[in-house]
Amino acid sequence: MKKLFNAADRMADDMIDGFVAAYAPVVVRGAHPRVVRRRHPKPRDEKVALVIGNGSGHEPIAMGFVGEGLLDANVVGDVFAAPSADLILEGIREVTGEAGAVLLISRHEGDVINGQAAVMDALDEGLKVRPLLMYDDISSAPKGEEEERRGAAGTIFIYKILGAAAETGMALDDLVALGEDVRARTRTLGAAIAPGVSPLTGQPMFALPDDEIFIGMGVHGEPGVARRKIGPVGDLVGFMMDELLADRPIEAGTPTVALINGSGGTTRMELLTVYREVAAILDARGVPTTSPVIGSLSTTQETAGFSISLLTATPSMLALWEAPQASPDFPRIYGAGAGR
Amino acid sequence: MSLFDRLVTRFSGLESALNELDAATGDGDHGSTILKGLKAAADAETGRARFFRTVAGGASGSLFSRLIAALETVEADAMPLGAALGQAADQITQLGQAKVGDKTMLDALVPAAEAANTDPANAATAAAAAARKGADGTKALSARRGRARYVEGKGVGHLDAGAVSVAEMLDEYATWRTSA
Repeated sequence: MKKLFNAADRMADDMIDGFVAAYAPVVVRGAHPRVVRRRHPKPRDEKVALVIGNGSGHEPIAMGFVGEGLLDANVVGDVFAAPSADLILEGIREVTGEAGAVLLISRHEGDVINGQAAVMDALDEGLKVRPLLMYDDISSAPKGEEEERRGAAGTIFIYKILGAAAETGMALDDLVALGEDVRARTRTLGAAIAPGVSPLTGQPMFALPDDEIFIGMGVHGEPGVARRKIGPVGDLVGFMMDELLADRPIEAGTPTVALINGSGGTTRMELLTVYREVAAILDARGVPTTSPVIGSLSTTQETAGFSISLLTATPSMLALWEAPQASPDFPRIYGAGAGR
Repeated sequence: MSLFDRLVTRFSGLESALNELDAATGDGDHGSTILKGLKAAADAETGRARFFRTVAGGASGSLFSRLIAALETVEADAMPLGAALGQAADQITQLGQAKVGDKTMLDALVPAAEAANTDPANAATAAAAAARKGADGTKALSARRGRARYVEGKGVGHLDAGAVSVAEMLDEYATWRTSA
């Protein structure tokens, strides 16, 4: 398969070069070349910094969400590889002041180990930093073992809501508590239609017959937990919504935000069709939907597939979700009051 | 010879065997990773654990650096062995979110810490024996953490390479302690 890059060991670096050049008014490369920071941060002694490290190859997450009202820094690892603890520590040091920092950790083994190791070192250095583990993928561990689950696209709710809350001056411990509350109210389930190609190997990341789909897809191309024959998307979404609502029932009348994430190789036409089905299913249950996001935000190269994330937001969470932000890649959100 | 020079010698001899153990359930580089880190730790004047982690890299680098820190502490007689190993085990538990029985390095480290605390007069040899027993026991375990978790059969029938490395490190420590 054809891929556009200069050299295998420069993929992440060349991408960052392009990103910081294109969006120089809002982002800047950190002291370390794998750290991307906000160009105009608020004083670090007054605002808690939000930092996340992740392997590259999943763009726009997370680098594209650095900016006012969202992330303060992203530490970029090699393709599909968690950044080292040293590198994450570097990112924490660059943005942490008296107000402290939250290190967001999407729950994947390497990210957790290296992230927690970086937090231990940062604490040893006297920095005020707290980790927040993010997990939402219901296919990765059964109900009752939520803490064993992996992070998927629903983690974007945490990024955005904590980003907006930190901007208002919320204190470190309150931010972590808010993040835990968002996490508790979020569930995600994904489906893979066709594999993407790993830039590391040039090979498809998994194999799937032409007429089958995987339910429950890992963000690194791990095969899913159940297979289905392809059919009308309404049937597929119906199945997935049953799973999501069995895992965490939503009472009629509870305002719910849906995030339909594309995995990189699924068109907007398809993603909007998925949203049509999600909204109809919730509507039929008397659940009002608001302020959705539909887009390919957390991707795995050109993997065809999508995930559905649902958040039952409190009014204050919803306000933070809808608050303005100025990162290069986060989509605009249209709440009930928009467009007037 | 310093403790860390001895560890380098020992793991030079173990490198390929540990790689082979790891290959059964992982990517087969465990022995090389640990040896790389130990060489960096041995070359460092202070802060051996940080050098170990940086050079070893990856998740193993972060996890084992906590044990390296413990060994550095007891090498300098700054803490009793049981306390140092116990602290390392707690930190590794937090990092890896694993516990005894998950088929990880903790299956060797946790009993080693307990043995050293129970028999402080013979802490080094007691810890080494307990670690070896724990590492041997990983053969029957199915993995709940680490690479073997994603392998068909979850690694049953294979020793955990990380647990074996812990046992080897503590055995070398006991030899160094009793010969010093």
